[in-house]
Amino acid sequence: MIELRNVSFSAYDEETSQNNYILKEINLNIYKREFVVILGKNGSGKSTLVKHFNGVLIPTSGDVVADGINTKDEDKFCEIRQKIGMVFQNPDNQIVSSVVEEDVAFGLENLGIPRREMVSLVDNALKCVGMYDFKKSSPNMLSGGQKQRIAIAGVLAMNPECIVFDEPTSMLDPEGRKEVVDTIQNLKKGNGTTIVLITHNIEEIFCADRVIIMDSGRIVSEVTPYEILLDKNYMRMLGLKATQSIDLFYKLAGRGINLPFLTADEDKCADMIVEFLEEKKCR
Amino acid sequence: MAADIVLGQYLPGDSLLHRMDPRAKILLSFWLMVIVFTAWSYISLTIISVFTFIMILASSIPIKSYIRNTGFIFAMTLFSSFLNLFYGVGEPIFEWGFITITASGIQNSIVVAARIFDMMMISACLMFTTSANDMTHGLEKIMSPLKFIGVDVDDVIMMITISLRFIPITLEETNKIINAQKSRGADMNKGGPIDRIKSFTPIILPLFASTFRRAYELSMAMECRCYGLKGSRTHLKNFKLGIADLFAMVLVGLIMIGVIFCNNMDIAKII
Ligand SMILES: Nc1ncnc2c1ncn2[C@@H]1O[C@H](COP(=O)(O)OP(=O)(O)OP(=O)(O)O)[C@@H](O)[C@H]1O
Ligand SMILES: [Mg+2]
Repeated sequence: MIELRNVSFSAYDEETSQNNYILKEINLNIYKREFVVILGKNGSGKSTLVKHFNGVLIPTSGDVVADGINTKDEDKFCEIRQKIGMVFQNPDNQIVSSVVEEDVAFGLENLGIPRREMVSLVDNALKCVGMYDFKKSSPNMLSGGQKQRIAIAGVLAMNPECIVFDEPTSMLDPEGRKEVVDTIQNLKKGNGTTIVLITHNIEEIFCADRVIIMDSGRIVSEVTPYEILLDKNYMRMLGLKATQSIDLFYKLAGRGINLPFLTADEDKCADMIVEFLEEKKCR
Repeated sequence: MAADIVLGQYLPGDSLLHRMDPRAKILLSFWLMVIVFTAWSYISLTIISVFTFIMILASSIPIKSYIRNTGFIFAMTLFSSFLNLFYGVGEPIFEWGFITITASGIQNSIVVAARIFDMMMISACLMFTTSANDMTHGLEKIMSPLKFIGVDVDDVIMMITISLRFIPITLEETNKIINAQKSRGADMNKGGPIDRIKSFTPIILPLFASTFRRAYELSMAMECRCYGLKGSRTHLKNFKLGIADLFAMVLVGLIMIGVIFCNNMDIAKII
């Protein structure tokens, strides 16, 4: 789906007045229908990396090939961006119109989709993120989580094959975060969309097929979510905080009680413990 | 909250005028104002004023709102038309010292007052019954022929749309910054005028910084959604002329004929 070959990116740094490499010789493949999480400290180049995926940034050297199209090909910009959508951190700064349905239609309007098709595409996208009832509202009236879902619908309406999320939940409250995470998971399950997610939140890495860890412009390792959780060094390196349920999992494991799987969801965790206790009683 | 700030003077409702096509509404309002300006005989003015009054009733917005919104300007108008009273030419009807009042003076002052009053009511009617968004889209459709002479209507409309969305957000942010600076001990209401202007620097600077960041992020998000990459855009919003619009057009047409026809009739001659 997306292939990066030897990608380096440099930008002029005013403080040191020289060209600084922000990305250094990155080789990476993102496959169709995959869910990839990118982790890394602040300033490690995560955002810079994903902006290469759809040609917002063009590599200083190396090539990015998205679905067979090289991002250096200016004539195909529109096609690449239709195929690879992006959702950013601040929901307010990606919503264009003061009517929800018009904002969702924005991308379609840009693509020149005829009006008749547009109406059903917008409705479907809004239903997909569960915001159909707010079709005529003003985004100003919505919560952060709802606004972020509108932003997702706006990208979704363009029928992308891959959606890149750059810290989509970092400005939201826990409730909004849950709404958005659920929406992202549904996308993967329902539409089979390829998903790339940048996050600082450990609870969001569980559904990933693969976790890529970046440090100062390089990919330092590729692991599964469980490897991160099992290795405290990773957690420390990334400055991730274990949630209570993860801590609990380890403490129980230390006493010989092994729960069936690791989860960050406290409700699920409670369910598992109850199940475990009941099983024990039966025996 | 940003939600509290409503731009424009739109008063939501479901009246005949609210449901009219914004394109027709904008054009007809404009046309009515032209008609108002051509009316100068008493009968013509009466026709158009009665029509304006019917419009106000049809908007089902309380007359109070109209008075509140236009009261001040209307008072000014009355004053200026009162002055007009003394600048007529022809046979004086009334003379006292240096004050002379003629028939043409009386007519002038009534005509001026009635015209301005009607125009204010017509524009208020348009503003009250059309949301900012509809207004933008209506203008977009009306101005679209300008494309042929090289004016980029789409870009202008996009600017208006974005402003409509971000003005409330920016106002809200300004309040946040003011509160943040106050909580650090900034005092906005002390000293002379220069001190006061200076005390706004810690508000304006962060506001600028954050607005530029917003603009940068927004433009990137728009670019990611293919804005400006393809030649022509299509539009979700579509207006259809309804029966109400046709009816309004016919009515305004009749009013125009009536006004032109009656302009040469003098009320005195008929009586
Ligand atoms: N256009 C640019 N010019 C100069 N330096 C830049 C530019 N864009 C990014 N940088 C620098 O590149 C580094 C990586 O930035 P990037 O935004 O990709 O990090 P990040 O991993 O997304 O961090 P965060 O977690 O804070 O979002 C930062 O040190 C940043 O200052
Ligand atoms: Mg970032």
